[in-house]
Amino acid sequence: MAGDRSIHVLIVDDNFADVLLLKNALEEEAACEFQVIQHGDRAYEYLGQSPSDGVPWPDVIVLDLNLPGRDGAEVLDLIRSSPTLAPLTVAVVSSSPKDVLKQRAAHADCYVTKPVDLDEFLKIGKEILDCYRANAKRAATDSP
Amino acid sequence: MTPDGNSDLRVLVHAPVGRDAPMIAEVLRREQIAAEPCPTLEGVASELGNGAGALVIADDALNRSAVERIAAWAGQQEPWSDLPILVLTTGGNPDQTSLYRLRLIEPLGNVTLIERPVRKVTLISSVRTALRARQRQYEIRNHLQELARSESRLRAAIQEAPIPIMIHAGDGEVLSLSRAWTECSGYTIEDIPTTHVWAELAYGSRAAEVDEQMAANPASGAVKPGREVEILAKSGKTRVWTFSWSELPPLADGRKLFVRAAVDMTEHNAVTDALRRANLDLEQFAYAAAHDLQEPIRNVSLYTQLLAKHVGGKLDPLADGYVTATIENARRMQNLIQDLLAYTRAVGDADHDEETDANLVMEDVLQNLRTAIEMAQGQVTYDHLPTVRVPAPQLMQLLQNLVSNALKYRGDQPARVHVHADRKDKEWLFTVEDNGVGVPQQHQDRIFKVFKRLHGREIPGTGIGLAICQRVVNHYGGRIWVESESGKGSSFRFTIPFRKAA
Repeated sequence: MAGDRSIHVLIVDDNFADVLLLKNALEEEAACEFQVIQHGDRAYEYLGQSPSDGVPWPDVIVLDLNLPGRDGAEVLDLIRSSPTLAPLTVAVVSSSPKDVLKQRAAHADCYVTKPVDLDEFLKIGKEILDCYRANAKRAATDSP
Repeated sequence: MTPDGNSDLRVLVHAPVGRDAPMIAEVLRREQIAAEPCPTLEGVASELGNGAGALVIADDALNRSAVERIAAWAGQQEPWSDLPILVLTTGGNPDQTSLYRLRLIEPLGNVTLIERPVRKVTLISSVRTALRARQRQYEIRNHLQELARSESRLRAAIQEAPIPIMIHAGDGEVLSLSRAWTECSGYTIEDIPTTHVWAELAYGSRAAEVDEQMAANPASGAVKPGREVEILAKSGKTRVWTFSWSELPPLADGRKLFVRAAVDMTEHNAVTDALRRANLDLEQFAYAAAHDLQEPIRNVSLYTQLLAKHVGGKLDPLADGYVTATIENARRMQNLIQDLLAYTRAVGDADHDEETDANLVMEDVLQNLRTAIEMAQGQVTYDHLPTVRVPAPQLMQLLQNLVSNALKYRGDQPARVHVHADRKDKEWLFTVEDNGVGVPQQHQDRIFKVFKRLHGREIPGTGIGLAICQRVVNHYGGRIWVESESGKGSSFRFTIPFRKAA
């Protein structure tokens, strides 16, 4: 699945600077196609659509916890409660190493604190995509 | 009119017939005894009101109405007063007439008869005896007055005491309430004639229980000394009182006597609550501010690094320096904010009752600080440590900060750090000893203040570590301090009470 075509990544983060860096970090690792939503409510609406609407689901959702409107944890709850969204890889990112929402973020596939150091930051692209690849591999072996 | 000292011991002489009056007055005056002839009965009556030590009266002046008049006065004397009256009788046989007359003058009270003809020496001696007895009465009067004053002072002390006080008998009868009791609770002594009624009115649904306990042990009143209890005031509002009490010497009728005093904590508690809320708000504000500052400063830092990566070396050296300075300061700010966050979160909403084995925490601390220990060529040892009433993350923060400081501020020799704890009266005394640079006497208090640092940039740090330690220790009821001499190492000591603070 991965490798041939670019990976479709949905970034839900209202901080433009972070979005730019996240894109950089992910692109260093693999070819990606990006979609960006900068508001919790918009993300909630988008992901709340029915599959029959023909929405192309992303492969990976990178979700910031601190969002205007509905926060990242609520968006995560929505993803996890939907049978069609649940298999997607969700990476939760946050500014704070001890984010109060960390416990709820445990339902994510990976949790990344946005690093202060540039080199460290660029490494989180690999971290997120490694997680996606592991998920994809598991899905492939599980399916009959 | 108030009798003055002179009139108190003067002798009134009422002998209207013959030469008795001037003669007696003359005899007494020679003996330095003040005498006041009163020719008329009206004069006697009015002079008695001005005070007298004794009354000498000739019996020929004592007709029935005169006796009644003087007896009426005598009957109205103060309880301490019993004016000596000397009656000069006509000499001769104790016949019917004189017995009759004796009966007649009996209502006068404290009467002594002196028979005529009066001998000077008898008169003087009798008057002296009378004045001596009168003097004694005055002493009793003074004593009684002093007693009354002292009792009224005591009564006022209770009445006007600025705290609620109740004095009650063992059977529950309320004998007195301070004004503050009535002001705070609204109940007067008429409202609460007994402690049973008090229990009923003030304790609401707990009345029966309280009353029963007070009957069993009148002093207790269902509350432990110093414990706050809710009292229902007459207004219907609730007030918070803390009681103390003691047993007094018993009453004259044999009943036990108790005094109960209360401190009204209502306003105090309200202020404390308001302070606590304000403090909580501030803490939350500090946390939120620090939390939200993280993101922008992180991006300043990241983008400056990005800038350095793109243009580094292509600019003039001066511009490169600017970029480096920006990166460094952004990092420094990042560290400050992170430590500030740690400070605001140092005492979370964690459960006070949680107990932690300090030995396990020390193991983790050594693990976390492995690199720092190696770099300091250090050796960190600890004796067996107790289990204390502090949650693990907080105890970890505390010990790790102290040990890490000990390594950071080492002297020329390899760092040696030793941690031990000693059992004191009601608390554990922890000590983190090192052989480092020490803390000069004049800085020993201020090092615990937020952002306070003693060293320049050569030793990195934000100045929050010890403030966090102090916050944690204070939160769990302990104290922290340092004992040190410059250049001779430091002993950081903190205490953790066995029991949680009330």
